[in-house]
Formats: sequence, C-alpha cells, structure tokens
Amino acid sequence: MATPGLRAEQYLSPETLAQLAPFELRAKMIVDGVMNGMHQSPLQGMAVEFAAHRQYTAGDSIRHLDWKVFGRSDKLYVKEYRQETNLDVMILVDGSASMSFGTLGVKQGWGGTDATRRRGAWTKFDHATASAAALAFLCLSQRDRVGVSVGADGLRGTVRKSATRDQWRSIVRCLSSEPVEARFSPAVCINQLLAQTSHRTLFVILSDFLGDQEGLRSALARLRHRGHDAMLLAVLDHRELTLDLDVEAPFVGLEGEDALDVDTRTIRKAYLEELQQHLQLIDRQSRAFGYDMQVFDTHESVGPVLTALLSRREGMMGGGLR
Amino acid sequence: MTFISPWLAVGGAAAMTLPILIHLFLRRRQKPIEWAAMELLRRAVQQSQRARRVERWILLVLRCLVLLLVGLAIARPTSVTAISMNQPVVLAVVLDNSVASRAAASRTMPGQTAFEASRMACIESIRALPSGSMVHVFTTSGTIERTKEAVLPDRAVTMLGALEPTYEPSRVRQAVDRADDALRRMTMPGRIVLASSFSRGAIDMEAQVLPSTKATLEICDVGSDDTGTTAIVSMAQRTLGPQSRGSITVDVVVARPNQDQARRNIPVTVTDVLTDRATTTDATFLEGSQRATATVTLAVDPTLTEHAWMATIPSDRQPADDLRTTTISTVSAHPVLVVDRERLDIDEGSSAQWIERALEPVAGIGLAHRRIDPSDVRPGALKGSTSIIICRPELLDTAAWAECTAACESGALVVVVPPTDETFVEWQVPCAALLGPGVTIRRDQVNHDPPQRLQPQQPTSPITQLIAAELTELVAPIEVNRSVVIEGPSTTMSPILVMDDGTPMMVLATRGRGVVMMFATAPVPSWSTLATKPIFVPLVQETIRQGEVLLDAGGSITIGLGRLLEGTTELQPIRGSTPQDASLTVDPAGAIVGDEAKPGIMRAITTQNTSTGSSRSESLVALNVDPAACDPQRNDPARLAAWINQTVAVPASAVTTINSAQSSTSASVWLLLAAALVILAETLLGRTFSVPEPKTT
Repeated sequence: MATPGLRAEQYLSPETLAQLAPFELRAKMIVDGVMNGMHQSPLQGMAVEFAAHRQYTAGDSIRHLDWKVFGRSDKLYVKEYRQETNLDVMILVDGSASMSFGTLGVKQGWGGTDATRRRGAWTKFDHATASAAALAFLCLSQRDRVGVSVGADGLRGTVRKSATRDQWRSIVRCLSSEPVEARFSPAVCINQLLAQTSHRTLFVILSDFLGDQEGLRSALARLRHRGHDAMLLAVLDHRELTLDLDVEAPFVGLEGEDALDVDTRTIRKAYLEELQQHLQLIDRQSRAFGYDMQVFDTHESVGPVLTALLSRREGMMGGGLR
Repeated sequence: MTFISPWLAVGGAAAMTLPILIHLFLRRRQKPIEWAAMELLRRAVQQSQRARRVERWILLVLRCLVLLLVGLAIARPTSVTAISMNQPVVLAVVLDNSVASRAAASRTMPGQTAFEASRMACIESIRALPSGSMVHVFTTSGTIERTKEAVLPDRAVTMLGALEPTYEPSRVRQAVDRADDALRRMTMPGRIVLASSFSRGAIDMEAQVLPSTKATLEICDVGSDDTGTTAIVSMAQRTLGPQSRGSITVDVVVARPNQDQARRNIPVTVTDVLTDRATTTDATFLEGSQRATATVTLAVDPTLTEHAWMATIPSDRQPADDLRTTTISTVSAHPVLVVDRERLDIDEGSSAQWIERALEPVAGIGLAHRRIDPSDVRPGALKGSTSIIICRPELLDTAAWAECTAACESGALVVVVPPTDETFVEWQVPCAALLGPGVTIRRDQVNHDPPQRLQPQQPTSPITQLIAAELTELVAPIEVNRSVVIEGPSTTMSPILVMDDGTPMMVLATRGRGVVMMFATAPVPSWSTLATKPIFVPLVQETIRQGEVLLDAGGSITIGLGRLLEGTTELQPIRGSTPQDASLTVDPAGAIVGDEAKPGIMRAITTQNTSTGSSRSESLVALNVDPAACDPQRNDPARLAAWINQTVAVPASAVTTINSAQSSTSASVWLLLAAALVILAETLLGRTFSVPEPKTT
C-alpha cells in the first residue's frame, strides 16, 4: 500500500519502477496506485452482479430460486446474473528487438530486468512487462483467470490462463525475460494463442506496433471472428514520440534495417506527421473491430494511464474489463 | 583585379575551407544511433530530407562565401583600368618636395636625396608615356598645382628639373586630390604617379593616399632613409639670419602614450639636413613620465642662413604603439658667456663691459651674450655653451678652472683676458695650463713706455682672415701700455696678433676638441687703446665666429670651386656623388687633378701647414659646379640644391615602382556589404528551415 500522504503516481514513475525488482513489487505498486487513484474500482462486484428475475420453468436448477420472493408471493422465481463465470485475460507482450529501445536513463537499483541492466535505460520492454504484470496482478486479485505470453516472430514463452496462487509466480518468471533479435508478428502470435484458447477471452496486446500493419489487422480480425475482446496498448519511448534530437548521424535499426543518414532537425516535422498517421491507423483498425487502443509513453508513469484506460473501458462496457 | 594586400586574399580563400572542414569533421565524428521506428524515419526522410539537404549545401556555400568576401575586402582589391600601351593618357605626377624629401634616400642610391630619386622616378614615368600623352605636375609642398593645364611631356620634364625641395611640411593627400580633380576634367584616360620616400615626414597623415577616380595610381617608393632602419620623425627649419653663429641647441621632445611604462632611454639623432652632420644623444623617459627631452648641440655654418634639422629615432626603437610623437621643440643659438662680476665701473669700465659692448649688434651684426659670475662657474654651469670669455681669471678657483678646461676639451671656445686688478697673481698658472704644455705667463705685468704698437704685417690666422685685407690699417692705431708676457712653443700655440717687439698680443691654442685664445693686454684704456679703436668690434666678433668654426664640431662650407683648398686635401663623398668620386685629387692650388667631369658635393678635409704648426679643417666643396647656378657670395642653399639636382642621375633600376590602383576602399566597402547581405540571407535561411529547438534529454 502507498504511504499515507504520498500520491500514488509518485510510486508509479518509471524511474521508481525501474529500481523495483522483482515484478511482484512493481505490479503491487502499480495496482495500489491504481486502486488509490480511483474512487470506485470498476472491478468491484465483478461476476456476482444481479441482472433480473424470471419465472421458474421445469429444468431450472433450484439453486437459483429466490426463496424470499417465494415466501412473500408464493411464486417461484429464479435469479439471473450477467455472467456466471470469471473473466479470462490473456496478456501478449511484444518481445521483439525493437522493444529493447529506451532513452530514459535509470539509476542502478535493487534489481531490474535483464534488459534494463544491459542497456542502463528503461526500455519499452521494461515498460510493457511492468504494465503486463500490473494487469495480471489486478486480475488475479479479482480471481480472474489470467495468462501471459511473450512473443516476437512466434510465442517465446507462455503461461496458460489460471487463477491459482501459483499463477502469479509463473507469470513473473515468464515476464522476466528480454527481447530477442526478431521482429514482432502479431498474426502468428495471435494464431498460436487462439489455438490454446476455448473460452471467450480478453486479449491485452502490449507492443510498439511498429512492425507488420497488415499482420496486426489480420490478427484483430481473427480475434473478432472468434468473439474475443482485445485491448491494444502501444508502448512507445518518449523520444520516439517527439524525436527531440538535434543530430545529423546515421540511424541504425534494431531489427536489422539498413542504416539511414538522418538530420533530425530537417525531418522532425515529417517524422511526427508520419508517427501521428501511424498511430491513427492503429486506432482506426482497433476501433473498427470494437477494440480499445491506448498509447503508453515510457517516460510517464504507468498508473495514471492504466487508470484512464480502465475508466474509459468501464464507460464503454458498463463496468470492469468485461 | 589585383590586391593591395594579396596575402590577405589568399587567407580569405584559405578560410573558406574552414566551414567545409568543420562540416566534414562533424560528419565523421557522429556515432550511429540505434532507433526502433526506422520505417517512420525512412518515410520522413523520403519526404523532406532531399530538399533540406539542398538547402544545407546552400547554407554551406553561403558561409564559405562570407569568409571569402571578408578576406577579399580586407585584401583591398583594386581594379586596374585597362589602358593600352599605345593609348595616349593624361599623366598626373605628384612629386614629394617637402622638407622630408631633403633627407638621403640611400635605399635606392647612396648619397641621393629622396627628392632627387622621386623626381627621377617621375621623369622615368613621363618618358615612358606613349606619344600624344599629356602631363600634369603637382607637388606636395608649396604650390601644389604646378601646371594649370596638361602640358607636353618635354615641358613637364623641364619643369620637374627646375623644381627644388621646400622647407614646408608635406600635403600628400591634398596634392593627390588635386591631381584627381584634374584628371576628372580630362576626357583621356588618366594615371597618377605619386613619387615619395613615404617616410613619416613625407606623408601628412597615416591615412592611405588613394584617389577616388578611376585613374590608375602608381606609387613610386623611393626609399625613406639612409640605412633602412631609421625613420624620419620630425623636421624643423629655421632662418637664423646674420646672427647665426657656430652652434645651436636643438631640443627634441619624445612622447609616449602610456605613462605607466618604465624608465627607458631612446637614442635620438639630430642631423643637419644640408651638411649631414649628425649628433646622437639619449632621451630618457623617467618612470611614469610620458615626455622626454633630448638636447643636442650642433654646429652650424655661419655662412648659411637657412638651416634644417631632422630628428630621427631608430625604427626598431619606435614601435607604433609605444612612441607616438617626436618633435623638435626649440632651436636656439647659444649666448656667449662673459665671466665677470656685475659691477658698475664709472671711470673706464671693465674688460667685460668693453667686450659686451663689442658683441652688441652693429648694423644688424652682433652676438647674444650673457654675464656669469666667476663664483657660479661650477660643474654643469657651462654645459652646452660653446663660447666663454673669461674677463676675471683671478677670481676663478681651482674648480672653476677645471670646469673651463673640461668645457674646452669637449668642444668649447675659451677666450681669456688678463685681469686689470693686480692684487691677484695666482691666475697665471692655471691659465697657462689651459693654453697647453710649455706655456708660461709671467707673473708681473710689463709697463711699456712709450706704448707698444703692433707689427704692420700680422701673421695669417683664420681668426683674422675676413679682415686680413685691412688688418694693417686696423692695427696701426693700437697702443699697448701694459701687457702680460705669454711664452710657449709654436707647436702648442700660434699668434694671432703680434706686437712690435715680437711678443704676442693675442695667441691661439687648441685644447682637445676646443680652442683657447688669450689676449696679452686688457681692453681697458689703462692697459691699451684696443677697445677704443675700429678693430675692436670685428676682432671680438670674429674671435667668436671663427673661433667656433675652428672647433672640432664646426666646419665651413665653400660653394663653388675649391677656393680655400690648400695643402693636402682629402675628399669624402657626401651627396650627389658616388664612392668612385672619392678618388678625386686636388692640387695645392685648388685645381682638380684628373677627370673633372665627376660632379658632386664633397667633404674636403684640408690640412694646413703654416709656420706656427698645422691645422685641420673641414669644408664642403661642390666640384665641377656651374658658376651660374651657384653664387658663393650669396650662399643660397636652394640654388646649391638645384645644382645638385641637375647633376645627379638616378638609374631606373633603383626606383621601386608599385603598381597600385584606386577605388580599393570603395571596393572593400562593397565587398563587406555583400558579405553582410550573405550573412543576412544565411540567417533568414537558417530561421526559415529550422524547427524550434526541442528540449534535450
């Protein structure tokens, strides 16, 4: 829990999170911040909410009979609920090479991911895994079944959905990896995940979405076709969002692209326009399938963005993640 | 296009490579940057970087252009008007004839004045003109515009030959402006030839001398001084008139801008422009002082009325930011010091009173004098004085005699008159010692009864040379009642006037660089009638004038054929002559032996062997002179200079001609304006194509 008198956001800044390892601490800090920052949690009463009464018909289970109504009116009514089972959440984290990009310098703390230690910076992968762990912790605390997967050109590690106590440990172990030298293929990863999924599931995809746009559209279409829900969290570095560099130098891609001589002063305007168009395209694609999309700036705190996302989702769906 | 400072243009061109090198260096130093959103970057580059790269190259070119233009502007480009070699032109010659041009210009030719070299440079330019050309003649001093209209080249050459240097300062800028104006009125293409030594005395200001028209300006630098290490810093000219005597004092004031500088000695050389006699002394800046004065005592020729002196400082001792001004502040002739007490003798007057009366101007001829008390003759009191008449030798103590002896040995004239007061008898020993070894003066005076007279035929002496013709008549009425007896070897002293019995009435001896003369009788009526006779005034004045000429620092000038050349004569070239001319020999009659065609002014060193010994004198002799051009009686230095100018030729190879051009200043201004416009354009481009500076992480 947050110390009284301190704002939760203070504990959710990337600088703080980068010094908090392992993931249990990071996730709990984020969730605590989220819970403190919301007057009413959208997760309260999830899966136990009363929907309506209907008259008993033969074949109905007598477990749902409303005996109080029977006592008052001598008629048999059964209670109906909005959902009778817990939410299934599957979190897919982009573990491609482009996610190892980060420009926020962090101090050497008490831990951190391998990526953080290797680069000395808070990377997009660090931000994505911290957010994924927070979400997973949030779901587990509501006894929802949650699973995580780290993927690039295919799934590199997967923890199946579960709501058991050991699930948290498995999720942490899975997320404590580092990006691989491969490109992210959302279509392949989603296909592999769909092969393991039978129930209706909320897919949370954390990626920079800088790769194959057609593959992403195809993956979202397949999710829609199978009746799943999805949230797209675009994790981008602050410098990627602003190009606040005054250099003329060769730029080298992290995923094997050819070097490119760039004068950032001359192309900044065009770059920002291209980025805006790119993000608008992803947003349009996700909205076309009824999904939600949110941009995460790795230099900003995780909590407020998560809170804003959940609030918006509550407004759209009528409560919680469902 | 040419440049006045071409190396600056080269520097500008070299500086142009600086932005390119910086550009390349910065490009090479950039390390690769890892980036994730490469696809976005690639699309942005394709969209905008190509145009921006062109603009960046434009910026680079503009920056290079700025440096190049500034370099060219500083180099002062000049546009030489293309004038065909055969096309007639109007040539405006500007000749430096200021007082500074009287100085020697040995950088081009030894023994030649800057004026002569400048004039020859002008004449060479005129002779090289294509046919049909016209010439304007201008001078920097005196009347600037010598020709109202353009004249034919031959007439211009004749006119230049008749010109002579003035004693006035230079007005180079004004003369060039006049020439400029004259060429504006002409339809033919014009050229200006400016010939000067360009020494500090020859230019009126430090500013550049550049005309404003499209005429071509050729600058003929004919050298500035004798050694190339001395700069003329000040010149002064005085007309001393008939009172001019053997020596004058020249005070040279040197100023420096910074009073915080330390003590420093600056050697100052003062040269008589006409005789080339030079004396060097130190001007001492005391710590914290900005001014220092050097006092120089120079001998002047009494036969000349015009004098000019030049104060110089070695150029390596006068950096521009150190010594600012040097001026000859005063030029003053020395008064004769008469050593006697101030007293009023009603009866007959003292020797000093009679002598002072003889020094007073008569018919405009006289000598300044000042009384000094015998007790004031102390170390330093006689410094700078060249003539001392001791009328009360009996009142001088040992220290005063030592001071007189020292003054004499350093180049002063000392005249001793025997005391009329018989109380004191101790003066004879130091006085005899002053006259020289072996000289004795008898202790007791001799009373002559009847009075002694002087011999009708007096010995030849430089002191009485001017009155030699009338000397017999002048000495006849003199009666000597009382005298002292001066005896000594003829090698030590020589008689000037002799009495009937053969004893000297007046003797002359040399002592060091000075001269000692002594009267055997006092010019008071109780001793002799000398003071009341017509000979007394010319005798006293000639004693001073000719006596100072005999001083080692003195000399005489003889203009015309060697009238006074006697005995063995050694000739040294001075001006207008070449070293070969030094071999010229002169026979005892004064005639030149051998090739008489060699012209020039010589310093003639004459050794005279007389019955009383030998004497050595120096004189300036103009050899092979045109009598019509120079009148010895008038001693006109201008005519002498004119003669020099007519007889000396300057080889064309000795003249350094620098082709320069006009309008360089305006061209530089235009180039600087262009550079400013380029900078403005560069700034506008930079603002137009740059985005606001973002915050850096």
